Amino acid sequence: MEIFLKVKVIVKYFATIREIVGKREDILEMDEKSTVKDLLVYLSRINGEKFKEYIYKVGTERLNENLQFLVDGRNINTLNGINTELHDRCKFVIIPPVGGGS
Amino acid sequence: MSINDEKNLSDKEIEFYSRQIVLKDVGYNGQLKLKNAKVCLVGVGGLGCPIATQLIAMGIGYLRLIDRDVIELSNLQRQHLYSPKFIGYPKVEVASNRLKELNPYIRVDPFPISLHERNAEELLRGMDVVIDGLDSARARYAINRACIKLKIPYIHGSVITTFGNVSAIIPNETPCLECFYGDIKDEDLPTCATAGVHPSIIGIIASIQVSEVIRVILGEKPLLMNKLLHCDLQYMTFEEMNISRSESCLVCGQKPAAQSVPIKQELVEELCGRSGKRVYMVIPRETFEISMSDLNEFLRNNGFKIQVKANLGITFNNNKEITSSILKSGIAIVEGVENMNDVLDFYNKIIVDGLGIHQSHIK
Repeated sequence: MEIFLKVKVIVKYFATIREIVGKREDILEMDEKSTVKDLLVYLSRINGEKFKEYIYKVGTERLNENLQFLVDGRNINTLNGINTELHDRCKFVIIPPVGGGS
Repeated sequence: MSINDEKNLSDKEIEFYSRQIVLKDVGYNGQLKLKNAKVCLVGVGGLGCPIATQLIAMGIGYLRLIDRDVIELSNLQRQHLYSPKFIGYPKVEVASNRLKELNPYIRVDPFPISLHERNAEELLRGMDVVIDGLDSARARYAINRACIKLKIPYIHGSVITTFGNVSAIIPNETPCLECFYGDIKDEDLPTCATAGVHPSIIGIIASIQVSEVIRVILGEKPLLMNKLLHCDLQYMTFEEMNISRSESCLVCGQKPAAQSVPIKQELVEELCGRSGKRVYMVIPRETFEISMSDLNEFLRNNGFKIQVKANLGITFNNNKEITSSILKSGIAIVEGVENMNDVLDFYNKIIVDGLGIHQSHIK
């Protein structure tokens, strides 16, 4: 499939996901009207199995519920879920699960 | 002495706090505000120990401590209010005594109970700020909901391995915890017991939380409003993420998509195992008050060996495999029992049959 590069998305990585991708940030060009789902599929393709295993529930296309995905500071659960559209210069953040404190 | 109406600092207090009174953001009036402040700390473990120590040493006039656990050997690497001689004691009791030694000019109120959605509002009402030192998403959500409802600022912190997150949640001004943390399940999260935790990241996150609490009390805007700060010692990075309120948030949104789902609270929770044994916690539906002398007498008369008899809890064993702690509020931690049914049998024999507490308080 030919991809028409029209929007730039800034992707920030933290903690475990940073270890997997080996960097703190990516600036990716995506098709206009690309969604979070498209972005995660693309990131899985370029970062391999470990990334995929971390992002998705084992053997499914459903997202790991303990990861939180923000588009410009808004949790995608309160937007349009994985169908949330990305716009030019938006920031996409994957928040790692941090539940400890004891 | 009532809180919130102190007009002066004594000469000794002025000397005690002199190194921070000289700070331009504190001063005499700021110190008086700290003295008149009421703060609730939920969880006196890894984050809670340094948080409590700093808040008390800085002169917070009233600190409410809530924790449901007893001290274990594996806590001591990072929970520095405790020492080996206190293994088996309720954390809130030892922390409270130690904090009063550190600063005799403050009041500490220990609650050996489990905070959940049913009791959160009652426990947090009247506080100026709430700060969490928890290891449970479920309890954090309960704090978040109560604080939004009661309009109390909530300073959230969490840590695991070498990294941690911190944010200041101010009702009606910032996103709430559920806006940016969604629906995290405790069962699927790594814990400090399984993944480990570096004491240094605990100290950093706890100190940032305290700094934000102090700003709230002094009437300044917390710096982590609308931000989630992520610190990672593995890379020595401190990075802020902007976070935004969601109109459709079920807890704080102006146009919630639906009613928020009640937070589930099980009667029996399985905790991280100790020394290869399974460990369970029984959390009764209602908080009741057990007479420690009645419990002590019952246990002795029934062949149990008392290991620790404290004011807020007793730790004992049955000379076999089972070791248990029962707190004054009715919470029990049971180690060495095979399954949840056996835990409930064990609990009921002591609490219902032995002490005459009615089942309706428990289930």
